[in-house]
Parts: sequence; structure tokens; C-alpha cells
Amino acid sequence: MTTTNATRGFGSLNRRSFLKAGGASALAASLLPGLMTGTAKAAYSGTLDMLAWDFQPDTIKSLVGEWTAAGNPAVNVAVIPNLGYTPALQTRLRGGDKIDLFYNFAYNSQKFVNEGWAKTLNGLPGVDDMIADMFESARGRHVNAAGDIISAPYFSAVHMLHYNEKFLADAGLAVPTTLKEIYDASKSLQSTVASPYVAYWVKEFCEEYLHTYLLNEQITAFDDAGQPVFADDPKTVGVFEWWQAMYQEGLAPKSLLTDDPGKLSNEMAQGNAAFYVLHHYFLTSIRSLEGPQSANVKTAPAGPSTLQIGEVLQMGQSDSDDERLATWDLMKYYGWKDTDGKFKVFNQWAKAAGLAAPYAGFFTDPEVVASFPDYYDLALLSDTFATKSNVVPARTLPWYPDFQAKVGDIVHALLLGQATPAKTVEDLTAAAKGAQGGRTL
Amino acid sequence: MAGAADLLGPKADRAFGLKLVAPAMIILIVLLALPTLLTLVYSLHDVPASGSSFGPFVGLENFTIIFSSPVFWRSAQVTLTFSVGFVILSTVIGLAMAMLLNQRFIGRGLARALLIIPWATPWLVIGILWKWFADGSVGGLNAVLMMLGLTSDYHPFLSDPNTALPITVLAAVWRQASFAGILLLAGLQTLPEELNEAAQLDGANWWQRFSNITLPWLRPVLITVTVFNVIYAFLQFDVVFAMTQGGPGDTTQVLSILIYRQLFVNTNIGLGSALAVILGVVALIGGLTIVRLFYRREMH
Amino acid sequence: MASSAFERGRRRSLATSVAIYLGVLVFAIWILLPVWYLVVSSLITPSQLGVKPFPLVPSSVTLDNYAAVLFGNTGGKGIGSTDMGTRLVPTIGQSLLVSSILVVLNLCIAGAAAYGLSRYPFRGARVFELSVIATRIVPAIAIIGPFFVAFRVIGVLNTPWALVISYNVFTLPLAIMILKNYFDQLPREIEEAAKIDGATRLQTLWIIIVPIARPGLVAAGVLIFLEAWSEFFYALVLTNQLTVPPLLAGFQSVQQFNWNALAAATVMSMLPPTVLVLIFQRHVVGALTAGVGK
Repeated sequence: MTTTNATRGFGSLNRRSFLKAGGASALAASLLPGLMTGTAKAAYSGTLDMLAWDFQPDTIKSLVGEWTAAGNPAVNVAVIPNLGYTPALQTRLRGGDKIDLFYNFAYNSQKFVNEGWAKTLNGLPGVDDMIADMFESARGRHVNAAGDIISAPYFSAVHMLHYNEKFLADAGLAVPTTLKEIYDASKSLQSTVASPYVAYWVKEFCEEYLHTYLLNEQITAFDDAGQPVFADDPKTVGVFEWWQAMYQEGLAPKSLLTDDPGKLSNEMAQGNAAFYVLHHYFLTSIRSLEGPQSANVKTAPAGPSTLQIGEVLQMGQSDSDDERLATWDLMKYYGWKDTDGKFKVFNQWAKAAGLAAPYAGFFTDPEVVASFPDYYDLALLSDTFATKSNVVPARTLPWYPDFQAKVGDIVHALLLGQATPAKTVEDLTAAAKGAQGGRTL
Repeated sequence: MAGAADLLGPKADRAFGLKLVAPAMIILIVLLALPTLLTLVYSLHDVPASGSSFGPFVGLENFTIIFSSPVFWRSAQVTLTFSVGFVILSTVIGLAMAMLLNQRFIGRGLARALLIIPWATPWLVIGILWKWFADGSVGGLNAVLMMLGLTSDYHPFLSDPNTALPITVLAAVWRQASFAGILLLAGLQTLPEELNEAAQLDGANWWQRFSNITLPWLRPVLITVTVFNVIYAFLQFDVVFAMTQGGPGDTTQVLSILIYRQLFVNTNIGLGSALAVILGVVALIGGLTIVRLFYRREMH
Repeated sequence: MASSAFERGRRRSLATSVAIYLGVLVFAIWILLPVWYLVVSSLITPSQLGVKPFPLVPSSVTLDNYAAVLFGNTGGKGIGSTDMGTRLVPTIGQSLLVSSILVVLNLCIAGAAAYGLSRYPFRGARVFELSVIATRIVPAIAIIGPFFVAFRVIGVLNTPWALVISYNVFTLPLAIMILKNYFDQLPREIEEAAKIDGATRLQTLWIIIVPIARPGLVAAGVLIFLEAWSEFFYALVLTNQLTVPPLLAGFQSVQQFNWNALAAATVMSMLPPTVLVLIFQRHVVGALTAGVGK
């Protein structure tokens, strides 16, 4: 763990605020002349190490291969499964492994910076342009409260309600937006399908739904300082009453606490469910299953706000400025645009699985538009990213994984009727405070 | 154990014995003693997530936090239930399978080959397979129960807090019972037939022969098998993780899941190490209790 | 022994026979039901899977899932890995390599130790035996950190050696306990005869013991092999999907899930150890037959 001059240089920039970044680039330029003017291609002759989780590794390799072929350094791409990615990555970084660029879960990103496993991107050439290019709603995931840029996007998605258009039309129902409307519509549809509403309510994912539902009712979960404030909103208890009722009254199937999302997609495709709330790209999986109802499934416009998620790319430790600049070039290519200004990598993920990039220009790029299957309403998605979604910036704070792990236990207790909605609010507040306080089980 | 010294051979023999054991001893010390020691040291510190230092020494504070947490006691209870069910079922089903496969019937060779299949399946794969097999709507288990008329509707076994733990136990037992069955079948086959025949002539019924001849004969191998079952029970992680991640709620949250969470999600290495120490000690006590029986038997 | 079983069978009452065949039926269902579910899942389409009740006897079968896994022929069917075929075969090879090297090493090391403990007990042998059991109870996930650092320093990360070395944590205690049990049951008369004939201890071990202990060594070898074959977590952290379990786990990604394709991949990954174990089945059961009890 040697501290190079460059790291100290970066350290001195740590407190600068992105919002005051007007003069910061100039400052960075004066501090790091080598970084700002040198061309990475010529400067770094070594090999870069990249770690990704197992999603179409052949595509990852061919994308990175094209980058190398354009005169850039060679990249060693290592792939490990998503299941167990965090422990493997942490053990490797803790053990002193040098990884230039790695996929990470957004909720780990600030912690990794704090532990010295990931570097901030402050002051790198073009980074401010990348942030400026993003939907404003997405910036809170990549820029922390102090203005440090902690990551670049790997992909992004918004939680959407997928619904069976035919079932609704047959029952004479309008597309629901509020939780109350979803409840009522589910009740009415029970004559068509026994349990109309499905969602990925397994332990690990309850936290995403917590935010999706709170945002749907315009409740602020965490304030700017990261303090839990959802308990202050009188509407919060109502959200949990709704959640409990959906499960207890059988509007959502009992098996939901352990169901796989792939199975739920199939339930929609087969017509065993009418509503499915999850990341927008699950429409691809529902449609491509080609079940009897697949073609009837549509994406509903989001309510006032929904949760925007996204996993990230982070920069690890580098031996030299040149290596860091080369890594940054790869990062820009992989998490933003190629040198021709095209969303080459994101376009590939859109084609492969309907994943999105948190950039406004992405949705209007003709190549991207062509890549998305026709059944996607790109205007709707773009609008949701731009004005109707929230990344909940607290989700990247270092104590957050601890809280996230507890949400599953607490929400499951609510759904199983072991805790009242009021108790759930209390427990969640205590869990957030406990996570911020340090060592607890 | 008092008589152990009398069993020792001449000095040269003892030296030869030590030489034979030395490589294994060295490997186990290097591979296990040092990391174990490190875990012990960690358990007494508030270790930073980066692991770059031990962090401040906190004495037994990690243990105090654990023992004063209801989460731990709930998990300990789940672990104990899981382990007791796992050990008993693996051993009993293993014994039953061994007894059966020791009988003569058409297709016995094939049946013995079947016994090995679960044993050749990785724990993680068993978790994934049983998660789907026990699924509430597309699972095979429900289909069969319905077909046999045992249930009237599909049951979401893994989402029901009353059935989630039994199903994870059953999935894990599916593999371990085969392991037990194979070792016990081997033990059964050495049982001299004369013993049984003599007993039969004396008019002993099946149960009397089983409890007075078969069980005592199997005792040493039964004890070895049980020691393994106890160890596998307490350390079980893959199956539960793949099936429920400890859910629904905390109903299948065994201690190894808590350790995983502390070490890799919350990155409280000190707390996670303390949990690992506790789990290790409990498993050791369980294992040694069985071994004590083993030595008592060897005394006569 | 087999003959005595036959004699007993001849005197068996009809009721006993019925009970035995009922038992066999229950046994076959216990083992085969999950396997059957897996195999059927791998042969049907997601649409068939979505139908209640699950088609235990599917009306039509397809090899599409296998094609999807092997040739990346996914047709947008929602599979996270599109080049599984090119990766699965070499990975099975690496798994075989790791497990085989480990078997040979362990049989030598554990065999020697077990024989020493059984025939030439030294002061502290009992304590060592107990500590062998004790070493097996250390939660593996708690001690992986030091392994990673050590392997990084000696440069074996992401090689079969990282697994060959670290798997001793699980397999060596297992092998020692089983082989010690086995040697304890072997008759000592032949060794004593050899001693009288003037053979050294090492000659006795190599020329006399190894051949007669071969069935026991085979049995322990299969056990070690399957322990190594099944290991997930160390392979996940210390290598990049070098062996089969982490590769299979890669099928469950955040973006896509598909049980049918996963089932096909699982069936294929279960074939090599199953075939191998079936080949050695006679030795396994036979070996332990000779070994246990006096």
C-alpha cells in the first residue's frame, strides 16, 4: 500500500464539491499536469486487470477486446459468479489483489472507497462531462455528498409495474398507479388469477421494494445526512399496512418470499399473475418466454416516483498515473461512451437484456433505439429516468449494506404477520440507526 | 485412555509411527492452526473492514455483543434444530437404506449404485435443485404430493416459516444420508451370518436380532458416521444459502449464515470471527461427545 | 457373504419379501424423485414448466436447453451465460485435475498417517487423532483470508494448486479418520509374518499393506474426490471459475434466471462424478465391506 504522489494529489481534492466543480477542473489541471495532458494510449504499456460478474462473459470479453484493438492496452478479464461476488471481491482486495477495474454493487461503493479498495475519479479528464451527461436523478449514486466521484455506471434500471393489458381490459380496469389502486385492481382480478400481484420479495431484495413503495407514495426515506426519516411521515405506516395486506390477503402468492425472478417472469408469461413489479428489463424476460400471455404484458407509467437502481464500475489501486489513466479510458468506454461518442457497450447490454444507461442521450441515440425491442416504450423509460425516479443517495453510504441485510428479516416478519406495520417502522428505524452505530448482529 | 501408554510398541516403532504421521501433522498445522489462531485473535479485536491491521483490542466485547443479541440466540436455536434434525435423519435414513440394501432382491446392484448419486452432487447444487423441487408452483414435490392425494393444494414449502426449516434439513439430509448409508452398508456386510442364524434358531424376532446383534456390531462405524454428521450439520452453509438465504424472515438463519453476513456484508471481521469461534466450539463439543462414546467402547 | 444372504433369502416369508420390495420402492423414490425432477426440467420448455401440475411425465421433450447451454444458442431465452459450452468442458477438466491430484496426494499422506496411528502408536497419537477431528470443525469461510494472502505471495492464485493445497483443510482429516478406521480392521497376521521374514517396516508397508489395503484406499479416494468436486466457496474466492460449482453458480445472475437451462447444465455437471463413482462403485462398497468390524 504505497502512497504515490498522485494519491496524495487526489487526496487533496477529496473535499471539493462536485457542485462547485466549475473551477475544480482547472485546479486539477494545475495539480496534475501529467494526468490532464498525457495521452494514456501511448503512456501505458502494461496489461489491465478487470473483474466482472458472470453475465454474458463472452460479450464482456469481445467488448473489451475491441477496445484493446483500437490501440489500447490489453485487458485481463476475470469472471466470477454473481452469487458470492461480494465476498470474493472483498477477500481479494483485502488480501492485496490489484484489480484496475471491477464491477461492484452500488451499495458497496462508498465503503470500498473508504477502505482504500477503490479510488475516487475526481479530476480525471472528462469525468465532469460524464457526470454532466447523466440524468440528474442518477448523479447521487456516483457522486457523494462531499462531491467525490466514486464510481461510473455499469448499467441502470428503474423499478416498473408490468401489467397484463388484456386482463385489465377484460375486467374493465384502468392501469393502477398508487398502492391503493394496485390493491383494488388486484382484488378485482382475483376472479381471473388467484394471486394477481408478484414481486421479487426475497430477503435480499425487500430493501429495493421498501424504497420503491415509499417513493410511490412520495415518502422520503433518508434525509440528506443519511438519517432515517421515514418514521416521521404519517403515510409510512400505510405503506406497510398495504404491503402486509397484499401478502396476508393472498393478493400476492405465498411463495413470493423465496421465489426466483425468472419464475415470476414465467408466471406473467403463463398468465398466472397480472402485475409484476421489478426492474424495467424484466419485460425482456417475460416477452422472450413466449408464453400465452407474454405479448399482453406492458410497462405501466410510474407513479410520482420510483426507485432507480444501478450497479457500478469502480477503479481499484493502480501502480502509476499512466495505468490509472488507461483504466479511466477503459472505464469511460465501458461506463459511458467510446471515443466516437457512441454508447457502444451500453448498446450491447440493451440488445442482450434491455439494460439501460443513466444518460439522457442514450434513449435518443438511433442505434440504441434500434437495439431495444419494439415492446419497450423508450419515451416512458427515459421520462422515468429523467423526472420520476430516485436513486436514494443513502443507499451508497458505507453502513448501508448492514441496514440492507436487516430489511429482509424485518419485512418478512411483517408479511408473515409476526410484526405490526407500526412495529415494522420502529424496527426499520432501529436497524438503520444500529447499522450507523457500528458492530451489531 | 489410562491404558494408552501400555499399548505403545518399542521405541523404534514409535519413532516410525511419528515419521509416518509427520507430513499430515505439518500440513494440518500450517493450513489450519495458523488461520485458526488468526481467527481467535480477530475475535478479540474491532478489526477494520480493510483488514490492514487488527484494529483496537476490545477483549471479549465481540462476544458480549453476540451473547446479548436476540438475533444470535434465535440463530443458535435454528442451528440446533437444524443440526438435531440433520444428524438424526441422516443417521436413521442412512441406517435404514443400509439395512435394506443388505437384503437380497432383484436389482440390488442398481439400487446400490443409486445410493451414491446424492453423494456425488455438490452441496450448492443440492440447494439449487431442492429450491426448485420444493417450489410452491412449479415444484415436483407438490406435484407428487397432489398426485398421491396427500395434499389438496400447492404448498409454498420454502416461504412458509413452519416448513422452510424442515425442507432445508431434508435437502441436506438427502446427500448426507447416502454418505451414512454407504459406510453403514459396508459395516453390515461384515456381520458374520452365523450370529444372526444362531439367534434365529433361539427364536429371536427381527427386532431382537436388530437391537442385540446388528446395532452393537455397527457401533464403531455408526459413531464415525455420526461424528461426520455432527460436523457437517453445524457447518452447513451452501444448502441453506442457495435455498432461502436464511429466510423467510429468520426461520432458517443458521449461524454460518450470520457469520457470512458479518464477515462479508457488514464487514465486521471481529464480530464474524467471534461467531466463527463460537460455532467451532459448539461443533467441537458435539463431535467430541460422540468421540468420547467411541473411546468408552474401545476400553472393553 | 453374498451366498449367506442368498440362503437367508430362500427362507424368506412372502410378507418379508413384500416389505422389502415396498422398501426398495420408497428408497428409489427418495433418491430418484429430485433427480427425475431435475432431468425432466432440463428437457422441457419454460412454458411446460409453468403449467400446474408439474409434468412428471412430459408430453414432449426438447434438447433446446442443452443446446442453449452448450452452444450459446439461447435465442434470447434469457440466459446469463451464452458461452457455457466452451467453458463447461474445460472447467470439468480442471475439476477432474484438481480432484485427482488431491486424491493421490491425500492417499499418500493420510494413508501413511492413518497406518502410523493404527500400527505404530506414539506418545500423543491419541491427542493427534482428536485434533484431526478438531481441525475439521473450523468454519471454512472464516479462514479464507489468510489463504488468499499466502497464495498471492507464492503466486498460485487462479491455478489448480490453490485448490489442491487449500482443500486439504476438508479432505485430509476425512481421509485420515476413514483410513485409520480401515487399518484398525485389517488383520495383523500377514504383517507379523513379514516381520519374521526380516522385512523392514517400510518394505512391509509398501509390499504387503498397500496391495491388501487397496480397496480401502479406493473408497477413501472416492470420498476425497467428491469432497473436492463439490467445493464452492474456496474455488469462488481463490480462482476465477476454475472448477464446476462456481461456473454453475454463474448461471444465476442478477439480470437473468432460467431454471430449465440451469437444470441442463446441472445434469451435465453431475455426469462425470456419477459415471466415475459408478465405475468405482464395486470397489467403494466392497472396500468398506472388508474393512469395518472384526
